[in-house]
Amino acid sequence: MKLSSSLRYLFLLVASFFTNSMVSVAQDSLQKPKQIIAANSDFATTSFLYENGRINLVVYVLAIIFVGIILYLVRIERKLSKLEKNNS
Amino acid sequence: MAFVKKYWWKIITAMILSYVVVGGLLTPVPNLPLLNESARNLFFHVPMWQSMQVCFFLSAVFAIVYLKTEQNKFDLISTSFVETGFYFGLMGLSTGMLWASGTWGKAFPNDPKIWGATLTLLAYAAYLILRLSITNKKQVARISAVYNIFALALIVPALYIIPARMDGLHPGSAEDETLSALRGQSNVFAHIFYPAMLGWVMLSLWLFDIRYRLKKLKTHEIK
Repeated sequence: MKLSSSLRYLFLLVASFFTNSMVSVAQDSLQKPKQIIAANSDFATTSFLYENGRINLVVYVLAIIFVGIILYLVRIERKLSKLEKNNS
Repeated sequence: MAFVKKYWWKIITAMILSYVVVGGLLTPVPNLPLLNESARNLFFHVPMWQSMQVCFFLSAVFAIVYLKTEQNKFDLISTSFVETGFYFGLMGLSTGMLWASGTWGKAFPNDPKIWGATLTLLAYAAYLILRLSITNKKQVARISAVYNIFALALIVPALYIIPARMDGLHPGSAEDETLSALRGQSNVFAHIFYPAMLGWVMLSLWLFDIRYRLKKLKTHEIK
């Protein structure tokens, strides 16, 4: 059961990244409703995701893929332990 | 607590590697000619080869243990290590081809380290085929264990001795200052590269663990 609570923490952590960026998008689009957000350079300086030529976006993508792979390994691990328990 | 006790090193692996993936992309790297930002590949491409070498080394150790004890368990450990190491070698080769085509202009340029790595992979591919080609269980284990020790003896000259004494493209060749420049101009080695080595090697051990346990279950079923 400890595993599932740690998974929930991880999920919340990842989700908080998204909600933070979504909140800032919402605020900015409220201030300048008719401008295209991606092309707006004022906006680009306000969000963490748009800093440094948007490398942070890549970091998040890779981090998510990596977390996915680790979770996959964890799932295989649990299935294997179950099988081992049944077999012994 | 039993969970942490059983999986502590896998938890540490996940933590180190998540640090490496994020830190490796965000840390500033010195702007070296030809490499530029691609120097970050150092944290991902090079540890693949180190994981491969650790796996192959351990597989040879367990091959020796098998020859001494003749217990089927050690044969399973040895082959699982070779299979995991081979996988990491393929990852290293394919990432290396991508990196080389971006910096040296060719996916497979003429370089002693590349040839050494390819030879190593071919030698272990021969190991895997050798295991498939013999049906007698005891014979497979013994012959492949002996072959394994010889294959390990190839790694040292092919990956270290020959490339270090010849001119080549890879850093660490006879006349090359890229590594010392990277070391001198930044502390990425201490901060990212060594943790990256440790983390990826530990991930390869994790994958080995899964492979070995799966194999054990399979042989259990056959019996």
